[in-house]
Amino acid sequence: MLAVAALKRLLPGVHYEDAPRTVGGSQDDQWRDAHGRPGTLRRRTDCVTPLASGFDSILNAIAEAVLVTDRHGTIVLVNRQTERLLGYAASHLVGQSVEMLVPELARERHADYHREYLKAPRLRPMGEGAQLHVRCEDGSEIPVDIGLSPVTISGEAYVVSTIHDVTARVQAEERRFRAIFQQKHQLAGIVELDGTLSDVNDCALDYSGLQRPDVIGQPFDKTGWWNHDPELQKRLRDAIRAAKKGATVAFDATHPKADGGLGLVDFSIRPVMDESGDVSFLVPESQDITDRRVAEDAKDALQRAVELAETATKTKSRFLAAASHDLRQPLQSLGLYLSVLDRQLDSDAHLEITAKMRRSLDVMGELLAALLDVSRFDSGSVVPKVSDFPLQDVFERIYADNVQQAEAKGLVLHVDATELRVTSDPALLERIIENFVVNAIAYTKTGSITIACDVNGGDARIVVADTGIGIANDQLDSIFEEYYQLDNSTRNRQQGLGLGLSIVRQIARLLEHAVGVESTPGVGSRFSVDVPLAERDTAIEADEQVSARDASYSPVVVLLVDDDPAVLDSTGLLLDSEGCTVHTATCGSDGLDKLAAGLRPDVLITDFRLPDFDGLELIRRARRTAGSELPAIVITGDTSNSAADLGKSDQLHLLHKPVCVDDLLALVRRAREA
Amino acid sequence: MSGSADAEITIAALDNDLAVLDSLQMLLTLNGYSVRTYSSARSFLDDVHRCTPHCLILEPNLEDSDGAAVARQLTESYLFIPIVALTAYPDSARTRELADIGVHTMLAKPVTSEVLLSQIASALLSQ
Repeated sequence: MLAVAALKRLLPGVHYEDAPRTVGGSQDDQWRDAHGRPGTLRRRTDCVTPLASGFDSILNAIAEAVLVTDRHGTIVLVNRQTERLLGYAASHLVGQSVEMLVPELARERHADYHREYLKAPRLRPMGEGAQLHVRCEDGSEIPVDIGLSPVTISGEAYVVSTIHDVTARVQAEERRFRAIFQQKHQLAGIVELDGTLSDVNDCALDYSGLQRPDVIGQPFDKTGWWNHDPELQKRLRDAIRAAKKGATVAFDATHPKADGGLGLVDFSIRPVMDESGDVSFLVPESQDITDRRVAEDAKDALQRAVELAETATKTKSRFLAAASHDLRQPLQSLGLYLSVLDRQLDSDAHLEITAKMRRSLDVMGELLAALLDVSRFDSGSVVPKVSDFPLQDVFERIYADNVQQAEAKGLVLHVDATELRVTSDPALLERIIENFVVNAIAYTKTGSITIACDVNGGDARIVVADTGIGIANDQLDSIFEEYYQLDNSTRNRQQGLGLGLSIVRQIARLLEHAVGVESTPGVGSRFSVDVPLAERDTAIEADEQVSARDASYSPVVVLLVDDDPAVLDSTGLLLDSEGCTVHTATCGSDGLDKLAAGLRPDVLITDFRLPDFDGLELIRRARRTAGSELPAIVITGDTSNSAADLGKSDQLHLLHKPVCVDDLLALVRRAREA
Repeated sequence: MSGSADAEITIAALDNDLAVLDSLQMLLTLNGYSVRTYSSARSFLDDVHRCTPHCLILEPNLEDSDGAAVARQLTESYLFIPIVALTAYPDSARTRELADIGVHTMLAKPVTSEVLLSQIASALLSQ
């Protein structure tokens, strides 16, 4: 802001015109120019000041609206920007009371503020905190920032005001405010310090189906969001009181919903402070949490249901166990009574009846045992006792317990002996394997059942394979379910309860052993369980497995050439039994044909004497096709030195007939390692 | 035990279940034993000095006591009677307790009459 006096200091030597003027209603205001000559303000439409044209130009060049008032509030000076801003010609402003520019609502207080200002005038913005407005010629009101500065001229007090149009800023702020205020998810409003609602967003109105005119200006606690619950209204009033003192208060509340229900919300009310730290208004907000509450309630209900189900299962299991134990008593007495009766009967007919009774009793006993099993595992009362032990022990027990049943059906029960040791609960593991075996026997009509094991990673995979009726693919999962039986749709109790595999599954889960099944209907099934190998043997087993794998999965490929079929046969068989894959040829060209067809043997074994060309020639030609590194063994009956010499020079091994089997095998193995 | 034809071998059976006691009595009597049945530990222990059996068939889970207590009472009275435990509660703590003290055999109901008779015979022979 510039004071005229300050301007005058800046422009020394500028001449001022001194045309006397009258200012409406008051005495002429005098000021002195740089030389002390008096001058007066001139009221002219085309020149806003009687100063020299330089000063005029500067004043009118100032980008802000400038307005000077005297101590009575009469406008004594305006610049061009003021005219532009307010839409008044200077002639309609100068000499008028500044109150004409003050919006009606503010007029009352303005007079007071003016008086206050004059008591202690200083450079400062006008009206701190609140938004000021000026009234324009057309009656509209523009938001402005006004700066005030006092000046004394000829002993008279004046106030120089600059008026800055902040419409753009206010509009931008309003847009931002509206954007936040009007968002869709949160109910929001503005509550004045007297507790009345002065603004509210559409979200709040829509939520409760209220109309804006009905709520604006009303005490907030009496509005439609609150008046359904007097307790809540009181709580709100307390909250408003606390918020006016600077606190933020939050609590769960209910608001009526537009559709007639009651919505649950997370309500909060907080104060907004002005620059001096005083609360200027309050902002109430509500967030609908009905859905969240529904979800939480559902989660709680689900949790309770799960706990209930778990308790029910445990209770059921305990009850089952208790009932089962009680069942043991009558089963015992019935059995003994039957034995006594048997002893007292003579007639075959009668004895037949008691025999049938005995069978029924036995079935009952089995059912009881199975039920007890299931309940025991269900109730979690089985604790495995884990140790290291040799699998062979388990296999032998199972064999002993089941071989008779197998043979009674004409089946062969076979165990592949093993030296593997595993880490598990021997009794529980035995149950799994025995169950597989019992099932295999039950579901195999002819053929065999084999118990074997192999190393699979760090586990021993125990496999019970049968040549039974097999299981269809779509039933493979179901067979582990309780009471599921293949082929027993009439639920013939003589075939057991069908609980065996479900118990297997429970034991397997308890021991953390993987159980698997493969099957081909009409051909047979393989049930397997993976058991961790006992640690100190793992390394050894791995080595053994590697060499075993070498032998079984990438056998030595031998091309054996001899025109004597008996030799071909016997040598071939020998090599085959050692795990080699043997290809034979009865003459050299046959052998070469095989190589030409793509055979790449690890070693070529040939007789020296062949019908078409000798063994050495064959080796030479073979090496042209299959690589010069192809290991070769020549078997010769020729003990002469020439043959021996040949052996050394042609990079091949020579064996004399009759061939020592060990030598041959050693050479073959060495050929593979090469 | 030489088991002469004149000497009567007495088997005592202690169990809460009356049908079990009755069927045991019938079976054992049929097999030539003299049988005394008791449905409470109290009644057995009151009688045992007067009529000491050669073998006891005992259910360790009794209403008024448990098998271990009965067994201890017997040894404290210097009555070394072989016990064939026959229990409807093979997993119970009381059964385990009795097993820890030591019995001739631990059987779980239901057992066949053959098994029971052979175990009794073996218990009698162990004397």
